[in-house]
Amino acid sequence: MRICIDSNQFIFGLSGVDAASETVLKLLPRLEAVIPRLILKEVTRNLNQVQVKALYALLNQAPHVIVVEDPVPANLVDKYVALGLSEKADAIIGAFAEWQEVKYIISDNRHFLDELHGNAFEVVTPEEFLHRYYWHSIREER
Amino acid sequence: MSQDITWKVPENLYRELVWAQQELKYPSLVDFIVQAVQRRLAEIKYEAWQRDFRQLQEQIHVSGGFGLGETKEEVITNLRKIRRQIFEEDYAHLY
Repeated sequence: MRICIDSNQFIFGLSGVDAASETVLKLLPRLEAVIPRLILKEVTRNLNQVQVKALYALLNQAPHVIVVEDPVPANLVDKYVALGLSEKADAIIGAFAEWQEVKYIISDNRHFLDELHGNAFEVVTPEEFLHRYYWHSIREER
Repeated sequence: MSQDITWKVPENLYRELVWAQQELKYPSLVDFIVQAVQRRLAEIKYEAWQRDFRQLQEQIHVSGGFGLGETKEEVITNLRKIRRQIFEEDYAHLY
């Protein structure tokens, strides 16, 4: 189950202001996740150098987390603009998810949750994701 | 590459290991021990990751947080602004 985590989840989880976001981040070593560079730039913009280094070290130590540097294909970005994401910056994230064959984007951004619809993936809140993750884990154990 | 080791264990621990290997139907005692050690190493790495994560949380807290707002809505609004800025600075020429 490959996922992508939106910048707001990193902010809420690292700040400790949202228990579900924090739990998702704490699960990172056990998850398969792809994160576009754009999202990490948003997260690290207000951190100092030591904190940025520590965050990248954590991501590097999570065995199945990949930070994707390559640009998202332009035709996919156009597709997500046409699907209703009026801002290209948001369309990049939708296009990224399809391009990287992500199953879930985890986000608390209502804008995203309401506007971003694709057949390729679902945008879910951290609570919804955790519910599905644990349900899936229990099924796998049986 | 592999490394030979000689491991002396108390008799009662040996008996327990053999019992567990047979109970869980591992082909050999070595297979059972290798997997047990690998699992424990994975746990240790996971615990170290959690510790480092908590340390980063503390660092961010001590330095005053992300400074993106008091409420979740404020944070999301500010993040949207930042996303737009970064897009204009680094990505707009690509799309």
